[in-house]
Amino acid sequence: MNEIAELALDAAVGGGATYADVRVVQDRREEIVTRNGRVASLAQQESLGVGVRVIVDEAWGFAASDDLSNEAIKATALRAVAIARASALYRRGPMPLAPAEKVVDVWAPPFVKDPFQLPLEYRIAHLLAADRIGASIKGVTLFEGFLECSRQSKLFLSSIGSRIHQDRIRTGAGIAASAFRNGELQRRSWPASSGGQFLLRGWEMVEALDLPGHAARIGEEAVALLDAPECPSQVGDLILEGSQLALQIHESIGHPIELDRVLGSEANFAGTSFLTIPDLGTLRYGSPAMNVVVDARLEHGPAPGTMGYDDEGVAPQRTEVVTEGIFTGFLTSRETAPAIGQARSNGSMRAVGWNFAPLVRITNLSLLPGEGSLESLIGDTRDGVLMSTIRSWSIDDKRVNFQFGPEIAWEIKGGKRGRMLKNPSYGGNTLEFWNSLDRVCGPEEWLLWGMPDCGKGQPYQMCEVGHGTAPARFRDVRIGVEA
Amino acid sequence: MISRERVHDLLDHAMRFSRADDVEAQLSGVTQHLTRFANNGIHQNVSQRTVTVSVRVAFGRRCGRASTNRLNTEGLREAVAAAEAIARNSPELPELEPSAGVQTYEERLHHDSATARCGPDGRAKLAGIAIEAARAHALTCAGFVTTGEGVEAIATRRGAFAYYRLTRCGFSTTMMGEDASGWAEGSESMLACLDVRRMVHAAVEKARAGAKPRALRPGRYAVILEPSAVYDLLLFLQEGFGGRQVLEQQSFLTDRLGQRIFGENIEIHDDVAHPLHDGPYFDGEALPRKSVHLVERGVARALVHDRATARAFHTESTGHAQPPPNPLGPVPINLVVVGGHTTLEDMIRSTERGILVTRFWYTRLVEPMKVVLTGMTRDGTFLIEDGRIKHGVRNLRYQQSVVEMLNRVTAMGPSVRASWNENPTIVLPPMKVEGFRFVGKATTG
Repeated sequence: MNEIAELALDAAVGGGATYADVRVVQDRREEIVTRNGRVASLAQQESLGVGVRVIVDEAWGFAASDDLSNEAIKATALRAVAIARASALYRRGPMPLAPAEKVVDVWAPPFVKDPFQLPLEYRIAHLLAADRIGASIKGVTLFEGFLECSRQSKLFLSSIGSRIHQDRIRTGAGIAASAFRNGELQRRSWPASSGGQFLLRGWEMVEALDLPGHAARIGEEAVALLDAPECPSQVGDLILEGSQLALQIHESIGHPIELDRVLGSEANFAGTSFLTIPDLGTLRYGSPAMNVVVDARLEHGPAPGTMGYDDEGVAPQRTEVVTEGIFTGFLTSRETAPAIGQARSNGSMRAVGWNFAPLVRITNLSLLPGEGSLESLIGDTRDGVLMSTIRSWSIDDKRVNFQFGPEIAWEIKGGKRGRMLKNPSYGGNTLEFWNSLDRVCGPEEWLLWGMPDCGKGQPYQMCEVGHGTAPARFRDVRIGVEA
Repeated sequence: MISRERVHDLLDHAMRFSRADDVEAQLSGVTQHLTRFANNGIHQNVSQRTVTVSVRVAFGRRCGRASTNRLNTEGLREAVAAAEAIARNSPELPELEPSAGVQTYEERLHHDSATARCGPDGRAKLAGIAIEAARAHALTCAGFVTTGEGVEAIATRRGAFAYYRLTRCGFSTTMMGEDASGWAEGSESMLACLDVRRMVHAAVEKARAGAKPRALRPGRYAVILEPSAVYDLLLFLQEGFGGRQVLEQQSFLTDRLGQRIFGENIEIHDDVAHPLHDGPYFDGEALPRKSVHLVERGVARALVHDRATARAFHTESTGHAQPPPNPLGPVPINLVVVGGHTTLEDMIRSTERGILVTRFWYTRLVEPMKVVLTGMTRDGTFLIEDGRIKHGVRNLRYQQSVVEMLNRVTAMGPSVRASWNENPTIVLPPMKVEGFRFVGKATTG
């Protein structure tokens, strides 16, 4: 990897780049999917390539290739230079970059059990063990298991002298039960939908999930949902449990605070943001119970957004995004930080592989815990609804108007969890919603959720992120569809 | 891009490393260049090239698949070894079929050398058409220009070999005024067919016409859906036409095959040979893709199959397999919705009160059996009254069953090619629909 990176960097600088950085990335991934007792998919993928990013004439260019002959590496670097020169034909203006320090480092988060060292039949058997239990529940028509193990090795070199090697393992697992009857389909997932939970940990995280231990419950719940009453439309108190709240945070805080989005870079695809730069330090984003941070350091936890350095070679820092309800921080890069007068990027530039250029991305974005257990929060709620597990989600292109529909809900009456409810949904306006937050549960309920599928950019990149949440209550929320 | 002969040799070379009972190898290569612009300037400009070989081996009914982009001898040998290790340690798959033998294909290529040769200066020039138009009209533009090439190929030890090459180009732009925006996007396989000026003009006109938008009360409205809006809804029907989804009771067609589910004016095919479609003429099992008449006069007539689902349905594969083993099963990727002859202008003229929708945004599935979707309008939504466009409308949230909607289509225009982002192309018409359900409106942040 060293030789590839050095050759590319030398060629880029020699070709006229005033700044250049190079990423050589090797990815190895294994995905297993089980469905109703059979291995529906089992494949391993490997990828190795180089991506070169340059500035020429104050404009960006990027080129990537998996042809790693010396000739092709040089050609890739020179292609990046030619692309930057073409960008300069319609340059937007001067491009001051926040400075970055020269860094020479190696980073590798710890794990206990390398999943790739376990026999394959062991990994398959673990999923099928959950499948045997879940698929045997009467009324379950489809039971699925998901397991993904990946390893990434990344070398970053830059023309300011940085050399950073990051090596990490990521493991993800989950199960889902579907029940179909008389034209209706219901689904329950554990520990979360979209493949489950993902962490920068080894096999120990799969063991901790105890998939077989939850298989019967989610099967029974999927079947029970078929006979449950519809969640009624009302305006009332809403408690969101962890994984559902993680998505709420992602869509209605994470994306609007991407500074490149605020500045218009994503207008053609994902849209813009209701936030403006003058909102920093002044806008009341939510109630005083709302405290949100961005923190991609390992100290925050082993979520997929955790890293040693971003793809500009900048170490992530903890940034207070919302402090007692007041908006206090954006996600930034070296190019965007100067727009808000900040001396340095907070390390949020990420690319999903060697073949993509980095963009400002959500890393780990977390709602800090408050106090008390979920049971105490339910006990404190006279009349409301508790909703769990992402199923459907939609938000507008400025990140204001949203409608989310979880898998399952329970009514809360007189401080007690009552009937199961099906097809729940809730919606509203981002600022009104977060200003209706009145309680967040405590550290004992707080969990870091890893989500593998955050989409952004053209070409499209699907990136992994982390969100720490504890269940929380919101008052006077529109439950159900508006009209 | 990599030639037919080189691909054949590469796949043959890979397969020779395996001692398994059965082997097949696939190659997928792409070169993509994308020039992105925002705030009336080019801000991101990228190029990537990648070629991947995927090998599937089987020992009896145990199979394994591994892929790599290290195409030297060492990389291919290791990929084969990984696939064999997976196969040896996997349970048997009762539905596993032997790989295909020699096939007869109707070969097609959609490759244009001028498109393949387009460089960064050429893409910048096309981006410049949008940028200069935005500056001239005091608007702010964003968008992209993309060009590229692709190769898909498959070979089996039993003698099948198929190779397909294409070029692809695309353009998209959003034009933004103070309180309104317009958008247009298109893709082709030949740059000469990509009408950038027309799209820029359309986006500019929508942004200008939509200025000072007014709020509308949610409710049911007659809507005229431009092709991009229809596309955003019909994309969610795609997987439901697959045999695996119906077998596993995950599809809107579960227990409904043979029944009339849409209006009698709805005809849907899957047809890779349609002149407005491109894509490989073979599937993930090396079988030729067949044209399938999915919906006839509103009746769900057929599904697409791979060999496993075909066996379960006592029929033949239609050539829609994804590379096995695959959890989702067969999927139609060349949908064609037969259109009509009513122009967009005539649809507007015939509307007493309704809404013209350019596109939807963030559409998601709420309920799968009736394909109930929710999303927002975006980038060009207008009130129609007494047969004329009256004014721009602030964005609305909809929640609508696509199945129900396709029972209320009262007019269709000629079918055109529609796509968005990197999703599959669908050939479909603009539509006028009665009683489309809007459930909310945009509010300020």
